[in-house]
Amino acid sequence: MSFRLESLALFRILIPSWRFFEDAGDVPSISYQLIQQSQTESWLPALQPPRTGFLNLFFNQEVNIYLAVCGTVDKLIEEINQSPNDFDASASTSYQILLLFLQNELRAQPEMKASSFRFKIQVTSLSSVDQPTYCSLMSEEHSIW
Amino acid sequence: MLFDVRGALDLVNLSQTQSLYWIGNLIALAVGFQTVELLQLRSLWSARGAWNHELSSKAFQKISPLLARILRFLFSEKIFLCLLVASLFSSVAMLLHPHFIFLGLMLFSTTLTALRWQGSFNGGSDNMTFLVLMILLLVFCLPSHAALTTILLEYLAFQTSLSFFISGLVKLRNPRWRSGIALKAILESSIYPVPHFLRQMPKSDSVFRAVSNLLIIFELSFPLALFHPDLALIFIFLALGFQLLNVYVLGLNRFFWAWAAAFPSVYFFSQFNPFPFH
Repeated sequence: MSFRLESLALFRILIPSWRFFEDAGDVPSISYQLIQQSQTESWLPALQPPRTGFLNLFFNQEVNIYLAVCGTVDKLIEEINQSPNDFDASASTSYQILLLFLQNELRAQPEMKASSFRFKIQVTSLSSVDQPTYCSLMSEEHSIW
Repeated sequence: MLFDVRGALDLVNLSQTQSLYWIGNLIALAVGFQTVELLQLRSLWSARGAWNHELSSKAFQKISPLLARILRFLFSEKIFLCLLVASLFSSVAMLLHPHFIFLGLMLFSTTLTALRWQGSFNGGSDNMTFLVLMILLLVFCLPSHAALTTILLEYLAFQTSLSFFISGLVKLRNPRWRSGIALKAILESSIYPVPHFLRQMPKSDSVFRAVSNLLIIFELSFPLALFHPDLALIFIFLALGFQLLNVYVLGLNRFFWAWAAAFPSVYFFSQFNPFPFH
C-alpha cells in the first residue's frame, strides 16, 4: 500500500497549485573556490544570471538551465533546513547534481589548472528588512578531474 | 464597452472547432520549443551530465519497483532521446494534421520531462502544458459530442482563470506583497535574470506598492474574463503582456506558450458561458 502511495506522490508534480510567487523567500547564491597543491584561490560566483533577449521567448535554454540549477540549490537548502543536525548533505541527490554540474562547468573552463575545488551556498533572507546573509553549506574538497 | 474590441481586432465568434484548432496549434508550438531546448541541453541529461539517468532515478527509491524499473528504462539516455525526437516530430505533425497519437506522444514526453526534473525546469508551466494536452487528448479520444467538448473546454478555461486568481489571492494575503516589498525583493535581489537596467533603475517604494497592487487586482479580477467576450479579449491581451514581461524580466518563457495555448478556451467560455450577463 505504501509503495502505491509513494508512486502516486511522484506524480503530484503534475497537479497544479497555481500559488506562483507566494513570497520572495530566500535567495541562495553558490560560489566555488579552486584548490591547487593545497593553495586556495578566492571564492568566485558559480552562477551568473544570463541575459535575456528577443529570442528567449522561443529558445531559452541558458536561462532555463540557470533556473534549474537555482531550483536544485533551493531544494538542497530545504532538505538541510528540514533535516536533523547530523544530516549528510553530500548524500543528497540535489548535492550530487550540483557537484556534477560544477565539475562539468570547471572542466569546460579553458586552461583549468586546479585539481580540486570546494563550493559553498550562502542564503540571503529577503524576509527581513536588513536582509542578513548566512552560510548554509560548505562542501568538502572535491576533485575536478 | 467604450469601443468594439472584437470589431477593432476583426475577430469573430470562436467556435468549438476553432478553439480546439488554436489550442492544438499553440500547445504544439509550446511542446516543440520545449523539446528543442531539451535536445540542445543533451549534455545535461546525458550519461555524464548533472541530470544523468542514475541521479534522476534516485527519486524513485520508494516507489513501486515495477514503476521504478519502467522509469529508469525510459530515462536512459538513448530512450529519452528517442522520446524527445518523437515529441518534436509529434509537435510538427500536430500543426499539419492533428491526431490523438501525436497528442498522446506529447503528453507522454511532457509527463516524463516533469518527472525527470521534478519541477526544477520552469515547473509551474509543466502543470499548464500537461492540463492543456490532457484536455485535448480527452476531446480527441472520447466519443464526439458537442456538449462533452464544451464541458472540457470550460474546465480548461476555469483552471486558467483559477491560475491567475489563486496567484493573486496568495499575494493579497501576504502583507509583503501588498506593501510592494516582495516585488522589490524579486526585482532587485532575487536569482532571476532581471535585466541590469531594471535592477539599477531608481524606483521608489510607492512605485513598487502601486505596481504590486495593480498586479494583485489584475490577477484577482481575471475570472471576469469568463463573463463577456470583450472582457475576455482585454484580459487575454493583458495576460499575454504580463507573461511576455515574465519572459524578459524573470526568464520564464515556458509560461508564455503554455498559457497562450489555454487562452482560446477562456474566450470560448466567455461566449457560451452559463452566466446571465452575456
